[in-house]
Amino acid sequence: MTLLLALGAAWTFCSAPAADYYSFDLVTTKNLPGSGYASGTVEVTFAPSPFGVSLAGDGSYSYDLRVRVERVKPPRDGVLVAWVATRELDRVARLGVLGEDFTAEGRVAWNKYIVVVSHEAEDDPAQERWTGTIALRGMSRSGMMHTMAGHGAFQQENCAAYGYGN
Amino acid sequence: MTAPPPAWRPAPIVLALAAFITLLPAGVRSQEVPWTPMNRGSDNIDVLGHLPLGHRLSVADMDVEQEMDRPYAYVARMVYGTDGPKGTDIISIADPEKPELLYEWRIEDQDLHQRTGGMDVKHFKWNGRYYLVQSLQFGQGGPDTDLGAVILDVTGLPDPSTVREVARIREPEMPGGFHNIFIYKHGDGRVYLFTTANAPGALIYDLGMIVDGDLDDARVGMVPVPGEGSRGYHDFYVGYHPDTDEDRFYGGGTGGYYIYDVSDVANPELRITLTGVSGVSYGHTFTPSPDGRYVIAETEYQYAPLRIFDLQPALQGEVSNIRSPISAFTADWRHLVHNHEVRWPYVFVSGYLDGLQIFNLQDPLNPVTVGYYDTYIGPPNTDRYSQFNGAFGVDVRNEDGLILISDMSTGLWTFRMDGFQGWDGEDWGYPNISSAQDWDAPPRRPISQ
Repeated sequence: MTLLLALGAAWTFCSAPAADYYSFDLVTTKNLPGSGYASGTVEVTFAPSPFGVSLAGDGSYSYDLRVRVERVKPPRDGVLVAWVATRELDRVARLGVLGEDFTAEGRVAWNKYIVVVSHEAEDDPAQERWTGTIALRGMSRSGMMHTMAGHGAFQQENCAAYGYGN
Repeated sequence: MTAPPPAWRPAPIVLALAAFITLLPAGVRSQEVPWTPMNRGSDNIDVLGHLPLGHRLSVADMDVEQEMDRPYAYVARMVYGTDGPKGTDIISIADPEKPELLYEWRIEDQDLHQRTGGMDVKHFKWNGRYYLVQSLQFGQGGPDTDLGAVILDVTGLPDPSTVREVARIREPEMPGGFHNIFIYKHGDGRVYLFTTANAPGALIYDLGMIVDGDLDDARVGMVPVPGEGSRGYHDFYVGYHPDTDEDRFYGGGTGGYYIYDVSDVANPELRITLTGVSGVSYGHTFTPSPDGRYVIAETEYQYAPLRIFDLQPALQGEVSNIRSPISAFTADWRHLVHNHEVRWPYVFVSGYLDGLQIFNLQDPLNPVTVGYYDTYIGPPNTDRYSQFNGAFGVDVRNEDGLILISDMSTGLWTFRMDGFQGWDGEDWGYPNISSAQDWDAPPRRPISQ
């Protein structure tokens, strides 16, 4: 009984809304009509597990992502689709179509990643990568970690402002 | 009862000083520059054309082809502000009064790429074909942090459908991309790309090898920066030096400025240093006169003038280091002047907040401003470094004297200066040497042959 209660508590804890630090912003590209003032957030929580930590097959942490977009006008045709991609864009996964509440959910098991919201012609679950206009994008907080060696020459980069829209 | 205060009477010296100040010209009193939003240029400068290119702070350096039957300018596109494209624009100047955008190359998924994007752009010719090299800088957190440059085949212009991508130069061990680049037709007949990177020197690539398909072996050398802990170079120029029959590299970077013999690109040899110069801890753009005696040296901070150095004591072997300029030029002492193109005795300057500036170095001890046009009438930045706005890049077409400016916020400009109808160094008693390359000239022979 004690074990079950503990598992239940852990489940509840992991399903709780993400703290501010576990979310990151989505920044508009202004490339899609009606999205010029759009903003959004991606809440990141550990994927629930009765064992406390959920891991992917390769040992990476699994995270649940909840994408929420605000101040965007519904497209006249087509749909808004949320994606997650590695920083190098060599791997892309489809999170899903943003519903009427402009939210979508999905799971990722990468350490550093980018969330993309694009405008697509139709809801095609088999689609492997965006082909339409990118409306918003955001970088995981882990993605802000980078090496000094990788600072561009003479970029005068502000590490604290790393990401989109800075 | 108190006595009334005595009437105040100014002392004679105060009256004299007040009269002197009153009689001074307005410009002297406030140290104002002559260009204003309503009177932007000197009388001898004609604005031929202007092509706005979009967002504020979205334009970087530029390059113009020298052959009159290839009237194309290339403009690097970056995001230094908050919006803009990342790539390069190809612009026709067949009619300099109506520059026309022909083609836009953009990095794919540009909205997902971090940092600025395009920075410097140059062109070259190899085996009868023309190419464009666009330097690129992408930050971590997004794709292509190892991408330094893209090469486009632009032979088929003005038909934009013929532009095709030939190669991408990547340096995974030196992420962050390439900043400034220079392309030089070497005395050995090859065409080399010199580039800044996160490296302790300037990387050298054989562009012929790259476009012929041998990218893996194309990095053929590096011009080092002397000293430990070097951040490398910021900008450079490479040119033939007739007096020594050497191909010489002029680079600004950590500690100052350096001149190398790069006749053998695999084994650069240091010739002259300019270090210990007051106010110069890091050199920027560095360009010699056609004969290599004088150099114009930039540093990248507010209030810094262009410094003029005479290398003669070092060229004659009396010293190996020069540390004192003989003169200086600035447009507005409160600002900063940037890149420059030397067409002796003229120096064409992209003067950031002060636009196009042209000065004459016929008397190197006394640079004289001979023309200007303010391409940017806005204020200094408040969201970025205050000085980095306005005229960024400058180039000159030698055949007809066309002057071009790429402005970070207002786009591409074309100008003519009265009395400057082209440039050939021989006309001024100098070798015909400038940043403009003669792609079809045969390789120079050693003097001994």
